[in-house]
Amino acid sequence: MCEDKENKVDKAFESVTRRDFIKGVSGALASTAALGAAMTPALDMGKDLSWDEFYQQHYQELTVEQKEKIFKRIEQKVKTDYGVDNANVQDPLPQLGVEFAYALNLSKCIGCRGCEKACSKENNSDRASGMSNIRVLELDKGSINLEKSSQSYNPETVPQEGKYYMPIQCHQCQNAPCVKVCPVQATWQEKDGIVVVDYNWCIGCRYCEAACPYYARRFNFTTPEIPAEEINPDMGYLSNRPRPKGVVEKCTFCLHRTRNGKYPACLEACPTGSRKFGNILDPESEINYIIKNKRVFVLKEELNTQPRFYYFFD
Amino acid sequence: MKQYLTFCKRSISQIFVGSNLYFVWLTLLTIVMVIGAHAYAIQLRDGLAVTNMTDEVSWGVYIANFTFIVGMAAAAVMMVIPAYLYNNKALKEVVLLGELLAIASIIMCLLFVTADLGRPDRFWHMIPGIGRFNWPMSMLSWDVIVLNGYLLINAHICGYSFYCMYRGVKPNPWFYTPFIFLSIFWAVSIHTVTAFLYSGLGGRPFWNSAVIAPRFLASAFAAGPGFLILTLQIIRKVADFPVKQEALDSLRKIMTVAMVINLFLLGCEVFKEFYTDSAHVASAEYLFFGLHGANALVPWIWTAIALNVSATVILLVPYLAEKSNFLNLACVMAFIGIWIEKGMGLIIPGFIPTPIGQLYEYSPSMGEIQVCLGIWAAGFMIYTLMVKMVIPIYKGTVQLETTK
Amino acid sequence: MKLKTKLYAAIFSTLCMGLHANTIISNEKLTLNKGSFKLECMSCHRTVEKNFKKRKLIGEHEKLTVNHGKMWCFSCHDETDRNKLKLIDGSLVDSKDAVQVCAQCHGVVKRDWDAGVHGKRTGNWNGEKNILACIKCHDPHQPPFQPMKPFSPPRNRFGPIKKAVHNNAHH
Repeated sequence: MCEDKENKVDKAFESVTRRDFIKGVSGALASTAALGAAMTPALDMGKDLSWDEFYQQHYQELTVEQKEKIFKRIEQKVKTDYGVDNANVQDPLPQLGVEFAYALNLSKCIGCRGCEKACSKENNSDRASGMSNIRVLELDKGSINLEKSSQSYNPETVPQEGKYYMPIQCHQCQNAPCVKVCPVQATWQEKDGIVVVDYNWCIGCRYCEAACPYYARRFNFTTPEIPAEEINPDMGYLSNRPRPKGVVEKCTFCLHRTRNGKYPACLEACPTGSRKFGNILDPESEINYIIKNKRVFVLKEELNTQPRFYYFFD
Repeated sequence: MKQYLTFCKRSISQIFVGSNLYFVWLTLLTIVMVIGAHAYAIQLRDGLAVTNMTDEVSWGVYIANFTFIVGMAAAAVMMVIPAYLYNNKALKEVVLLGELLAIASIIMCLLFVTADLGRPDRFWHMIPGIGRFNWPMSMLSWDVIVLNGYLLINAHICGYSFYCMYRGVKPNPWFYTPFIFLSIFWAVSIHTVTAFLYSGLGGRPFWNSAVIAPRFLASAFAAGPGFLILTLQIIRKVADFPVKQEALDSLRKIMTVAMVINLFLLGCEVFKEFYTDSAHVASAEYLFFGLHGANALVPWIWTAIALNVSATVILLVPYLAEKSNFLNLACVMAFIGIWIEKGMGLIIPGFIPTPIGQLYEYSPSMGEIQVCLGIWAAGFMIYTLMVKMVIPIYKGTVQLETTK
Repeated sequence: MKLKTKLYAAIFSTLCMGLHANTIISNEKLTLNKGSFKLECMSCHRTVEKNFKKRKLIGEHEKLTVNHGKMWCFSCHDETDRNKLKLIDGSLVDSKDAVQVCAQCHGVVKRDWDAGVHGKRTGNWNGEKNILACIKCHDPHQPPFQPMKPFSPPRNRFGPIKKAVHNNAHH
């Protein structure tokens, strides 16, 4: 009854406009086809993305076996992408009773940028853009206004008269704004204080880059370019393995070195011994001595980020 | 159920018929969308390297447009409140057109956010249940919830209302009224949460201001009604749809108040920055006067201020504001002015200088501009098609005949 | 015949190069390297008269700049046994123990150095370390760390990050 009527109205309605209607539908189909054709470059997007990679779970949900498989996959990828077959991906875990901290002696740093370069090399960072997780600031003596600092200084020799130098890298904040803002928990703080990124979970929204008060995060706009002979084959899954395109990275205190007892690469590269690193829970450690005996400060203390990276003076 | 499918079929079939002007408009939009889709496809292939964003300025026009358009979505509430809380009859007749605008805007927002992702293939990481959603800590996770929620609420209100209208029955208040009130609250929340994205960042003093959320709302309630005033006039003309002058007048009054508040809040911000003259003034200095020779945004922000002030003057002088030509001019000026002020004018200076003092300027790449235009065209397309679907239902030319 | 030529060549080159090669004095070992000759201090100073006066140094020490407070050669080197360093109490130490000499004045620095806070250490933060002694980094004759050419400035994917004119004045 009601439906019959409805059908009648429907038919009447359609007959009036059938020709126009077909015209409209074909227009819509043509537009859709044009949109589809315009999207064809996107077909190449999946070229270097495997299904395993696509479905891969968050780091903290992976079993040991799954991790082993993933590390093998990454080693294979390093081989195909960079032509290096001795890549060894490992995942050293935080050690019990260890919380890392870093201290940098501003009285000693001469601003040579040795740490900046060493970082890039150690961490398989993109050479094309000269990416490094460290930036060295030149400041006028008597000022700590970072907005007046310079990173592009390039005199014949450093240090320059009237200047001092302040290298900045991730401060591994205890109250880390970057961890707070990540919408997918792709970045978190480990038990030893290191803030890490799961490069296979990051969606590349770069909110953490906006949140970081220390300019400590970098985004991989491209797949990192690294010459085969410069690849560092000792890789950590959460640190220096070559990153995929479109994700954020950061300083991890070289956890692939430091969790195995070694000093970070930036410290080893520093010619002046300005850089000090160790376990802050160990009362005998160098870092502990500095906190107790030196004039120590943290950058942007007012933000309450509670960095694990301290600056000090002699 | 069958009745509902017929309703869908009938209303959707409406978008395939129309005047020549209608098809010319759709063709134009399609062309821009195709260009945008192509640019986005290239971005999918090559990554965000095709944009001009850097580690220094890590958000650009995508997020700037996103921010502005969240405001457009929230602005629907400026029709909902008078229509339902104050029972403004003229506005009640067209309130659903405002809510359709909210739907189109939210879809644009989602497109802009997606365009900004470095790894859109990992979008599913944000879906609660299968991904890992950092809620309630991350403001971005809040934004995902409120934007999608707002989309659903408005889709329900519009869908249900038009279905009732089609059947010629009064909507059941139980399915309707709670959602209206929810949408009012929710509209405020989407723009507040979006403001909190920025104002919650202690490391960016330019954004770390409590006045950002109120400013966002004020500017949204100016730009949104401004856009609706223009749109309703166009619909009145091309669709021969009776939009009452009172509706436009109400929107104009809302817009006037919002414009004044927006300018006042902007003034508060400017005073605080420059009178304090702390180290943190650098971003504002860059925006308004240029810093150390970097001054890309200076002409933009002063254009925006000139447009906003002129629009406000027109709106405040009844003699001018009541003339539709002047009113339309004011609406266009306010729309563009606010787009600049809260898009590029708010997002970009937040990154300049960087938190450690570097000055690196940003201007969008051709690819970014094309993607933005494509998304705008998509938004207009969605809104046009939705309006095209509902106008015959409004007019009663498409309706269920229930009389025996 | 051939062997003879080679032998002569070797002797001549050693002598010539020895006489004309640059002198490299090792602070750490207190030796003088000249080409393939390795001489210890006393091989010359046995015959040279002691001179306590501050003066322009000549001979093998011509290029040596001494700029270390009011100190002069015999503040640290023993005047009779030049292969040894001497402490204030008169006792002699080997050059490998130079830290003891430095520590006499730089007590605070020595304390920091002992704690691992002054100076460079490489290796393991919780294990074996390579600890560099004072004179590994500081030239005892002019101790301040010498200026050096910095590595190239940072850039991003579009090129160098230049800050416009550094300007402290507000406009």
